[in-house]
Amino acid sequence: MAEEIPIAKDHEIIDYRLVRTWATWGLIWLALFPTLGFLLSFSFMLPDLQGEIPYTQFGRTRPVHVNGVIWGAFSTLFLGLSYYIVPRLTGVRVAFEKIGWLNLWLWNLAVGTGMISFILGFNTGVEVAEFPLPVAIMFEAVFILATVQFLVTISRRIEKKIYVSLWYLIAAFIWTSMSWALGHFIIPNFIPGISNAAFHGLYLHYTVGLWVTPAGYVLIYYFLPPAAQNALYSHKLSLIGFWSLAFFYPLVGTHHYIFSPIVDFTETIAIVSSMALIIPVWTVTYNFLGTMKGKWHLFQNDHTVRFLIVGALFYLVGCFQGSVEALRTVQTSTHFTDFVIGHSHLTIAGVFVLWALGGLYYIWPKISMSPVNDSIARWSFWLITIGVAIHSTLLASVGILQGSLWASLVPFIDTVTTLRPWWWARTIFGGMIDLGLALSAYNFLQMWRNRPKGEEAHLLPENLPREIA
Amino acid sequence: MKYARVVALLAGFAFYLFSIILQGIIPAVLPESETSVVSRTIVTPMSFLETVPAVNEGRSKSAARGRVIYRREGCWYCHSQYVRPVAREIDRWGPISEAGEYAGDQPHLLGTRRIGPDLTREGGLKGDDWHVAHFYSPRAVVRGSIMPRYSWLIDDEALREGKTGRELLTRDGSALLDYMQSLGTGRGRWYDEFLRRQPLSFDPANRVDFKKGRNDYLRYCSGCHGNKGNGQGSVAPVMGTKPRDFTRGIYKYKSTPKGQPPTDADLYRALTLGLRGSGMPAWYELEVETRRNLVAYLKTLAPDTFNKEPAEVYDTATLAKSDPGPSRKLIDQGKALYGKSGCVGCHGASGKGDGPAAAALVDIWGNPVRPANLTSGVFKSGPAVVHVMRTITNGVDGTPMPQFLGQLNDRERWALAYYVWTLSAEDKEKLRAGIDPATADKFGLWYRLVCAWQGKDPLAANVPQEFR
Repeated sequence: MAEEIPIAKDHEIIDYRLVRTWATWGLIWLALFPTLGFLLSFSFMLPDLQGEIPYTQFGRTRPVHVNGVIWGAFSTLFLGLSYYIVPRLTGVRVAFEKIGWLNLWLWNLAVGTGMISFILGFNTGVEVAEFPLPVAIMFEAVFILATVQFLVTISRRIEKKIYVSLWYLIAAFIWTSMSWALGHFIIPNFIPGISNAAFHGLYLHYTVGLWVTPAGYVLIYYFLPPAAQNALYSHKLSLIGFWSLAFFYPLVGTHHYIFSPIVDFTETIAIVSSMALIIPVWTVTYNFLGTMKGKWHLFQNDHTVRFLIVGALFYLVGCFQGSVEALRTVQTSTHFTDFVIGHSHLTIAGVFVLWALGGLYYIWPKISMSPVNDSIARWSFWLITIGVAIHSTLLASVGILQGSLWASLVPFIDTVTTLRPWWWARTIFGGMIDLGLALSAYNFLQMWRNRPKGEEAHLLPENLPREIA
Repeated sequence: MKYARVVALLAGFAFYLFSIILQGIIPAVLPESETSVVSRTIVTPMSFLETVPAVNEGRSKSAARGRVIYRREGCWYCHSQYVRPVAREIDRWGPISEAGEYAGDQPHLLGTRRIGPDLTREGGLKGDDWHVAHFYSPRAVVRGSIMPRYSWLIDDEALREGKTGRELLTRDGSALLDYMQSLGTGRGRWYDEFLRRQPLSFDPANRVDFKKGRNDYLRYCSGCHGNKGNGQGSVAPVMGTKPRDFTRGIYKYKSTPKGQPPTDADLYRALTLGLRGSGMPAWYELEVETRRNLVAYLKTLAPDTFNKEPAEVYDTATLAKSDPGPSRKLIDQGKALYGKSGCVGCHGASGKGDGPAAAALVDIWGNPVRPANLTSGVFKSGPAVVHVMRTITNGVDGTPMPQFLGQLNDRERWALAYYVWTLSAEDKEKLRAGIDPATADKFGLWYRLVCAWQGKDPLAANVPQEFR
């Protein structure tokens, strides 16, 4: 018969200090980069506010906001949480543990220097792959090292069954190690002409579809069942979700350049795949909501459940929006407009960052051994939820208005001035989101400061027993 | 164990590679993506506009440098660079983008957002003066614009010395301007075709609203022409060719002989089509009603000029009646007349505007003027040969350009017009011959693989150093 597998205690396999330091950096970036977007949005109404030096201009600061949120805020939190999730799901300590620390400093150094280089005007010109070469190499090193670390860890696991979170984690790290190289090393140097745009479209969606999305899935698949105190609703649905995502998501990228001179069949395949993404999106969302069966009362008070489930609902809406946006008819009047901006904020701020925060609300009390400040958490939740909901609805409407104005051939400048009041509203509701995010970051950092001193000693790695199993 | 490997190999690698091949590599090696051929609109030696295949012009060294600055300053976050076949974009921006226009671009700068206008066809749409003034003070030129002030592209020293136009720019600024002016020029004279599509019919019987005209004037025109219409707008000092002083009522491109007021249709046309190559952009985007009101308002600025009707009108409709049609003989006659009628003195033997008298010319406002470069294919008067005919007939008021009405008969003036118009003609056979089937696909992935195999440098010819 099967051997008895000794079940490891959390603190025996997880380097809490590493997870905490990763998450702390993630929270710092989370307080910083979304807020920069809030400040930037003022330049739409008060352009002279940017002053007359190059370093503060929208063209130089926009990549700081976009890359800062994707790579700085969300990815840092996800990487940190991975160092918690992987040992938990495999039952063993992460392989080559020291590399986790190397990764941590390399990653945050890369985020910091990357942002400074944007301000100084170093920019490859490839959206979401703007980092100059030295910075890009640092990021790539982290991706490869973490991939190796996690794959080796998984191969050493004592838990036979491999949970759905780990599927997504394996795939996300392998995908991104490759696509980072594609975006930063190959596209700016080796693919000239219109094909440069074709590959860039692919890269753009590798980033959101093969990194951000599976990363988010890792988090919600992992944290929702224990938070809801329920088993995962359906194993079969998670299978369908995973394989349909893995097949269709890599193909959708060209929908960023529909009606461009890129070969038509490529655009059509991208559109068809974009619509096919409804399969993974609806199955995983159904799975999440199903997992809540009988436990909806938790939605009232449990911060993790709230953040995860509201994120899942935003996900359903945001991704449907994304699929539909790829259609030629819809894109006619929404492409290039604020509609797209609304979509990206709905999905990144309203979904993935929310899921990362949900995960943190689950583990941070364990890490800091002090309770969540419920009132701040509630404020944060409602500010983000209301902010995202209105912000995105607003920008979607603005986008359609903008597209129609362009098609009506009024002077271009009138299409800009007409949108001014809407942009003010965008700033206000965007500010709500940022305030909510910053409040959560503050909450966690404050919890750590309030930790019972002296009692966390057992969490330090030097006091942990060496490798078990 | 097995399942983790399936996930890693099938999802992680196989599906990913499948997408790269299907959506990246296959489209990239197709000839239609690799091409550097574009459809170029040209004026044929017989004066017709024709669209023919031609190899896309490379960028000048300075323009290539400007592209790096465009990338550095993040211009591409707000300005897209592709014209789609939908949403009436061809009526706003010009012809649809083609793959050949992006040949060799690395990285591409198509953009994903359009906060500012699309710049695919910006080259030559507005003069250098306009761009300099716009970098210097965007909101003075375009009221309500949200573009940042790029004042660090302006050389403070030059500004203090009172220089104007392009001379004001720093090296970076000048390179950026060269890049702007190079955008879309591979498509040749597309704008002539585009501007000819703009309806110019002007019904004088229609009612106008002076008050609206004044508001729209303050909104769209006052940055350059000044609130009082005296040409003293806030950016006027940085412009080389000064904005028109409307209070004097002197208009350059019109259908009436020198010294007579222009017709309403003249003002309407100049407003709609702009004065290409100068600081005056084309305002075809404005509603007909708005343009009509503006014309009415402009007339009130110079009541002395407009209180009388023009005695004679030689507008395009009238002149077109005497059009003999192009012929080799006529154009040759025009060439002879060009030598005989004194054109050479200012416009030069080659038509480049470099005649012996050119340097000393001064206009009625006391500013030095340069005779038009007739070989550039950029005519302020309009997008067709009949507009050149109109200018030759009536002269250019306020400048030394005389009227040839009375000096030359209809046929002679037409001959001269055809000759001048075809000075910028291109030979389509030559363009066609320039397309070497072996190198048309010069910049494609396939070509590069072949080059790598053979150890050649595929980009030696056209791509600037910084992209290699």
